[in-house]
Amino acid sequence: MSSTRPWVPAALVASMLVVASGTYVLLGAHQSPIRQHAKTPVQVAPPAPALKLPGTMYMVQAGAVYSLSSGKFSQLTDPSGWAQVAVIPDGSGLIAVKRTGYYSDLYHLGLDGHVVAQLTHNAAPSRYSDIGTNHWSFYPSVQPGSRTIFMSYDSGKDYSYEVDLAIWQIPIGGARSGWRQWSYPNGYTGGDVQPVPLASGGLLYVKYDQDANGNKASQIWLKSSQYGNSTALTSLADDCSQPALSPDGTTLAMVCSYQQQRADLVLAPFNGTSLGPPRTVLSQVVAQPTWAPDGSGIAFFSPALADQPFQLWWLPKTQYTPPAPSPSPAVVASPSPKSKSASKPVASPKPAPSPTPVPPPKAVQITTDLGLDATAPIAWRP
Amino acid sequence: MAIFLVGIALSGVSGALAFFLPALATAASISGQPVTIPSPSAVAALASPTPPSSAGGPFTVLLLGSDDDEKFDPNHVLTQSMILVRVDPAARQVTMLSIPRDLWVPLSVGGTAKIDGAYSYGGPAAAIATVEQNFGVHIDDYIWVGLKGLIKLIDALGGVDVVATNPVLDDYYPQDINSNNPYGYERVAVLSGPQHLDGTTALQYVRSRHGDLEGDFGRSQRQQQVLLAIRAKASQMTIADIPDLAAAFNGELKTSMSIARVRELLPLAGQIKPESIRQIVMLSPYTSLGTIDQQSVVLGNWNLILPLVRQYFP
Repeated sequence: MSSTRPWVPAALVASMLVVASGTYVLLGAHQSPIRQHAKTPVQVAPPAPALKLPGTMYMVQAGAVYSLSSGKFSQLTDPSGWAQVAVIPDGSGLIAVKRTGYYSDLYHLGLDGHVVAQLTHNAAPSRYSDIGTNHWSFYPSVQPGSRTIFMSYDSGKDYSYEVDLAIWQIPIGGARSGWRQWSYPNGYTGGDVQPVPLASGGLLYVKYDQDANGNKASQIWLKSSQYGNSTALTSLADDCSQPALSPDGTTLAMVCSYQQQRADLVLAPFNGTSLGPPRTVLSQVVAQPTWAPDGSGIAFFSPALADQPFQLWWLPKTQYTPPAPSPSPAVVASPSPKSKSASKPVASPKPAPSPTPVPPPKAVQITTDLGLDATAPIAWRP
Repeated sequence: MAIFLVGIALSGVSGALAFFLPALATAASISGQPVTIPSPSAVAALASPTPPSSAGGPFTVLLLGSDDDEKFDPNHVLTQSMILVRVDPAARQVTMLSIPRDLWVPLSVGGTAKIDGAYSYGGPAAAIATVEQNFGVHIDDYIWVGLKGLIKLIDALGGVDVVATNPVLDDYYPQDINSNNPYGYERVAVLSGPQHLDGTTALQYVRSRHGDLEGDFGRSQRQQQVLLAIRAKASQMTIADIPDLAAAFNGELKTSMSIARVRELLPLAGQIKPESIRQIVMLSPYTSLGTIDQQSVVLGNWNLILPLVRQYFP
């Protein structure tokens, strides 16, 4: 047979090679997407929904700061430890955190990402061998109408194991002597973070504490001034953090975890001193809710699929604004069955119509294959 | 024609074998580790262990995590993390009980010491016997993982999503992973809130304890959070992911489970809902802090612990 068909053995060997390597490749192709590698923002095509977002957003991925404007990402810094970014409200630049393994510092950046000035110097002097003499600065936020920054800073260390963040106010470009401490953290909890300076001169911030069962949880606090009264706006049980005040100052967006591995987006009316009834808007994992400067919606980070890296999402205002209340069922006088005891018609309510079910708010996923840093708040300028 | 078909079939099998060979080799080396539990007479048992589980019934696994860096003899490491996990496949329910590493107990190998020393003195058999005899549970299997193993596992899974309960700050975190000086320290700051953790950051989150008001107990709560996140991510795996995962485990994981047992359990991971997972950390009044032989230890209130264990690990 082989003498009549000499090509058969060769064909068999070739087929076997193809099938063997094909099987190998096919199995490799059936790996799950659990190890999806994040692309850098500038590698992705302009996400279509992003074209509708107003202004310019700033966010961080893998140690680099990126901007998103008119649907296009731009890389502003090298991937060299940049961790968080905030906008100076007058539009003159950005304040960003740059961290190393031992400390982090605040920098004043231009809108194109170039370094204007280093604002803090948290590295320990080289003569100190104790690494605990280094400091962290995180969560910068610039007070509207002023040149001062609020930040979290690990002050007051006494060479023990305690490292807790407190809220400090520092002048942009000012001396260390001009720093002012606003909050005093609960020991060994992580401390106070995420300051939101208010136009009134007060401050919203997040304070960590421990409940009677030993569970760590966060509360949103309001402080009227540096030495003023402090009030907890939320409970430890609700475990809320990452406060963001709407541009008109009337609604607070926050993330509430209820001491569980969840992170719901919750909105509550804010009158300057207290919160109204909270309303859960989204029950997916939400991080860093941020209001559009024109109030047209809320951007946030969330995984595209469960347990995947975080992507940018957008919740238009129409999705979280409750529909206008329908007229209440009127109480009208209607003839009632005559009774012996009542000769006049009595008022009886009409049967209330069953409420029309309101569809749950639907957020729009803006990016699909990035790995945005969910611990870095979104900065947004008009 | 028959020869042709046999050849094609063989080549397909060989392609699959080539794909899974690294996984099979690793699985053979890490699974089915023999465990000989010492006789209970070696130590005065505080409680009678529950009977062994029946096939297909609920079973209990002891999870062990060790600092296995260059500071330690690889055969004599402490277990910084000990978590008893009971899985009830029929009820699709899981209970996790963290055992404080400083819990002062009689060891199965003799003497009384912190429970984290049991593995150091007698390997997994001593750790299992010590837990069985003090807590009155029967342990069916154990899984041991080292520091680098946890990092590699989480990286092999592409990271995990965790809602960090609070900022975890530590000025004196051991700098013993890929370091020239395993006795050095580094600063750690894992910020709070929802985030995607890579292996190194996840290890910092579960290992740091200096800046925590609850010390080792606070760390135990974080360990359970990351375990659940690993379970959630693992439930999305397919069989084609196994070679990469096995490569991550090389030398950093040991288990008494057989390959068949692991294969049997994998689908279960995706069937158990988060609300069906009970997490227990033995804070006060179950435990209290004390000092014995100039060591800071955790003292068990066994009048409360044993009924708790009997309730959740029947």
